[in-house]
Amino acid sequence: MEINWQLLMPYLVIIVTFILVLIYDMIDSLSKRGLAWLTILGSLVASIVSVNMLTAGLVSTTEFSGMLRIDQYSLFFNLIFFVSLILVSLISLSYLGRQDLRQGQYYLLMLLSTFGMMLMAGANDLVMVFLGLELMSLPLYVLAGYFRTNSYSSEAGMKYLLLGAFSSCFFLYGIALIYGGTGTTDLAKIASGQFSNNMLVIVGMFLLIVGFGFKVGLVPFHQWAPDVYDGSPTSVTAFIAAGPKAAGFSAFFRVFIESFGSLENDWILAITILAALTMTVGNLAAVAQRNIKRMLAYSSIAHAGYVLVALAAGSQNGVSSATFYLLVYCIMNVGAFGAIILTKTDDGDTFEIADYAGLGFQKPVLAIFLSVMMFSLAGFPPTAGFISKFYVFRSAVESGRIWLVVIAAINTAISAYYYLRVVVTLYMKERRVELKVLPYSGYLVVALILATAGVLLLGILPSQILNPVQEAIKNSVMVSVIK
Amino acid sequence: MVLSVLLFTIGVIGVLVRRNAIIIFMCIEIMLNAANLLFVAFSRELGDSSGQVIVFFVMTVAAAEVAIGLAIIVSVFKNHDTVNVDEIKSMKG
Repeated sequence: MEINWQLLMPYLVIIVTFILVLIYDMIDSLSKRGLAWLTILGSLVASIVSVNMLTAGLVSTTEFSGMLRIDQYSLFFNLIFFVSLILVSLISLSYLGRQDLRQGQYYLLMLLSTFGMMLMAGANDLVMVFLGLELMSLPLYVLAGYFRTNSYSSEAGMKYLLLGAFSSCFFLYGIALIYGGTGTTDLAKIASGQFSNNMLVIVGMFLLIVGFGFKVGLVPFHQWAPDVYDGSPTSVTAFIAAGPKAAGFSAFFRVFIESFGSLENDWILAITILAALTMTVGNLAAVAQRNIKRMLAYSSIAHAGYVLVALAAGSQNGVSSATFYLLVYCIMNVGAFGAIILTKTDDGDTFEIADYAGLGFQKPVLAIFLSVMMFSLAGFPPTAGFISKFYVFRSAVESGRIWLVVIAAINTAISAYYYLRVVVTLYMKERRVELKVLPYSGYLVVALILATAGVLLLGILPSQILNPVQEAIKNSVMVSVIK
Repeated sequence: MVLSVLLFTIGVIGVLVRRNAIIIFMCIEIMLNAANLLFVAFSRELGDSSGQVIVFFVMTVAAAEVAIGLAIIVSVFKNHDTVNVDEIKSMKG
């Protein structure tokens, strides 16, 4: 069997980085900060390689006997993962530096999880999707429980583990049923078959929705998210909120738009209902939150609902707008978590929104970063949050899902309330408690500047990224949905 | 196949009803093995060996999951002195 190593470069770079970090960690005399720099360097190299492959006009190819597909779609998703890995590593540099010394495992687990995400985005076989999903999730369970002696963190780890493992069982059972119904697990072969009346396939498909739904946090499979986001170390929360969601959706889109495109009539209604539920429940629950981490958890559930609107559109435009949305979502979410990392009261980390009162004048720079992220999450122009929502809604309107877009628009209005409440608290409330703000760490500021720049640039010049994305999706995702 | 569906159902009910984290974890393993059984059954029915190969992958994944899962449950026990999921609820909202 001929293997084209050149096409596997992004994967190889990440694995080599993994091994280098492993070796580096074993040498005691080296500074632990180097671990993060190695991770960042590795993901930078991998991004450059991916960008090169993207601009070189790559043709969709499969490797490893049709297990892995390397095309522009998966490459673009890889870029999203690398961007969030770089940002999270920068945040972790300042966060872990003051927390503990066992940093080697931390970066190793993040790299391993990223590799799992890449496998998911590139999977061309349901078994590969499952393996990628597990390789992504297992390190995340450990990361969520990373502060072993902290009862919140270990509790978050356990909840994530039990519910995550539970959902992967549904996912696997779904794969088994589809295998029974079609005789194959190859996505392309499933796509070319006709299984519209095959009960096994249809039941399997719904089990897959349950499995994906758990991973990306759709209502009613979202209960793990608030507790896990709240209990995990904040830098890990930023990581969990960004990459894995994008990875889950990358496989979600590929499986449903491509392979089950012919069964559209069976799943589109379910997806539409899930999207409406997810947005509404996520936003309403977020309004009631007083803790900013839990609020961001519910808001990320709501954002998953918006992405699902794009899936319900079932078109190429839907996929490309969702891809763009996920990129923007990752950047702004990591930015928001990065901004709240610095604040601290006497009894440990604080995340009560009310405690932020008056911070706008105490720490203007930090407050500006946080405000930009909030405006972007709420979807105000000129931030990227606005433009990405706009494209998602447009793709859904094009496909005639008017009602869904109406619900989404109402939800955006609701969400503005709780995002803006943070900004209002920052600038217009009297200071209530003395909030200790840790001294700025250079790395964190760099991460925040990068995130803010990304959000604003993508908001003002979206076509720079959006046009290549649309081109990439056109070249690599075949849409068999018949309108 | 009937056995597999039965096992899967037992697993799901177990996860939903039992409150001990370790028993919940065992039920999850039962569900994974139900899926394995289904793969093998279909593989035999279709005369296609790939189903059996998949089972090996799943077994590897399950082993990794057990290792990590038990480690996390141990760390939870150290912090909370219990593995009853109803009593472990320091976060609310």
